[in-house]
Amino acid sequence: MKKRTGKEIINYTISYFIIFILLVYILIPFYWMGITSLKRTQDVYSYPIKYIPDPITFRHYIRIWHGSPFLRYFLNSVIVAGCTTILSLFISTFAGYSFSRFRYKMRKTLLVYILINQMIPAILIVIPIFLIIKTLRLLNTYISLILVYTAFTIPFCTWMLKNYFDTLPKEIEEAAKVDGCTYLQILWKIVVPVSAPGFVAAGMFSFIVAWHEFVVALTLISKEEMMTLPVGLYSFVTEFTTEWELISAGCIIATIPIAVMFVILQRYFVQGLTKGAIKT
Amino acid sequence: MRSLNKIAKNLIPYFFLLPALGILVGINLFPIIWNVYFSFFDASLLRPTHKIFVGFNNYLEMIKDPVIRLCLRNTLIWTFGSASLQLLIGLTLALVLNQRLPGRGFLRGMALFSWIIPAAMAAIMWGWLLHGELGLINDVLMKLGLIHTRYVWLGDPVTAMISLIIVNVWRLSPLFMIVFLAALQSIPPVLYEAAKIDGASTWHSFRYLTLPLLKPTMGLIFVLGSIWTCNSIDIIYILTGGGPGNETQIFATYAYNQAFKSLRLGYPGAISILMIAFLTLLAVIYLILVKEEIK
Repeated sequence: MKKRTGKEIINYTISYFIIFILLVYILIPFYWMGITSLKRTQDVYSYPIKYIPDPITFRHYIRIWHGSPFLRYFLNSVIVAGCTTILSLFISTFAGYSFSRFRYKMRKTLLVYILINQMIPAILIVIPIFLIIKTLRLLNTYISLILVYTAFTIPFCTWMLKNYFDTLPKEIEEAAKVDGCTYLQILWKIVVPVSAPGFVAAGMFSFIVAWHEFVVALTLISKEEMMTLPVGLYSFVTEFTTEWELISAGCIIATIPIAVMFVILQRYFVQGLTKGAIKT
Repeated sequence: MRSLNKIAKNLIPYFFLLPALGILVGINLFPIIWNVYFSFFDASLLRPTHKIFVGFNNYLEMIKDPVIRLCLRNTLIWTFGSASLQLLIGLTLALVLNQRLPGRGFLRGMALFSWIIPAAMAAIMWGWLLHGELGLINDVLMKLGLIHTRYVWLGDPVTAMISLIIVNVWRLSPLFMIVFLAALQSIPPVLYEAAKIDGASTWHSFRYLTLPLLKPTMGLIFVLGSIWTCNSIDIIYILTGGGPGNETQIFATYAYNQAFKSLRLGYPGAISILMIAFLTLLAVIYLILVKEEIK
């Protein structure tokens, strides 16, 4: 073991100090949300403000899960985000493979076109989309949200999968081609099974985008039983009687799936992100 | 027969692209063209078929509209204020957490936390943090003696905009950190060793080695961050709705409110065109920066 020099100790101290300040900034809303959700209702709305909930109560979690439409919002979000992920991955696999393995005239132009879509914000398209969906009588349906979210996620997933496919060796595919496999067979039997990290990263991205989206859902969904979590929780915020302890509990529950996914898949995600999106 | 086969084979990559292109054209391109078209008409959101051609009237209205000028100012402050601070905090986090510190992995995970909560819920939670009477921020600042009375942060034009930027920076800084970490890790350690042998101090190797090597990444993520921020409305819509007055209104929230609160169709279309112009400018810069990345 090397003895730590004075310089190193100073460096450590400064580093931990900086990281402490920034982590306070990052974590303070979670702390506030957490203690609010565990306080008794009368403690939330009285002075002095308690920094540690005493006594702790889980009543708000039970109440929001059983006594409100929250569970329905949660299921809606799971359905919409799940279907978006599957559809987006399916479509992007073909697109990514096309860009990775073939060389053709319009390739570069089309790739740039798809990437430009990544920059189109929801707000630019949400008004026409509202009218189109209304004309098609698809307001307040899952399919309307799934289609729009799929469009939001295709550019990034395509780009990421293309870059992932680029890193795979081509020899096996060429051998399969010689043996008479079609491109579809090569794609589904050889390329897809070895691309798990790429799929995990792209899939997680799609799921998070759909789970988080607010503006489109706010616009296309007005029926309470079709609302996704962000819109549903926002409907809890009203001008006069906002139940902050209930909303806090809801926000905590709504964040858990993403947090769990993140902890389990973080390695793949960061690896995929750095390999796919930010090519170095 | 052989040539027919060859044509079919040449078409395969295009077939593979078809579903992706179909959805992107239908959901992204078509509505944008629709916006351009409708910017020359006047109609109500409730009865879009009863439209009247008004030529450039919507654009003329935009020039005269004092709110548009406010929006321009606010959009610039909101976008570049957020992106600059995100760059600063993201880079700081990455530099600190790229060192071999005990507990590094855990700290990195914690730093990513603010990114996993949906923007809408983040905005709701910050609204509760900034609450005028029961909010934590007021209480802490009073305990520290920095303010004497509870303050309604979102009720004053200046502090409202600052609060909004703080929330937005809070949300996206972790993403900047990931990008910078990836860039830092791609710098070969040999370079630092060589610098050390040549007698460079930590500061010197940062100033003359790390910083220049990170420059392309900084440009890229700054523009990308600006693109993400300039038209995102969740935080502003939920926290201030563009208020007080129109003091935190940006183009995006104004267009949305014009459509879904004032129920107009042509005018928000015209505002959208303005936003597209702004966005195109950023996108062109981005594409120039990213050009080398597309092989």
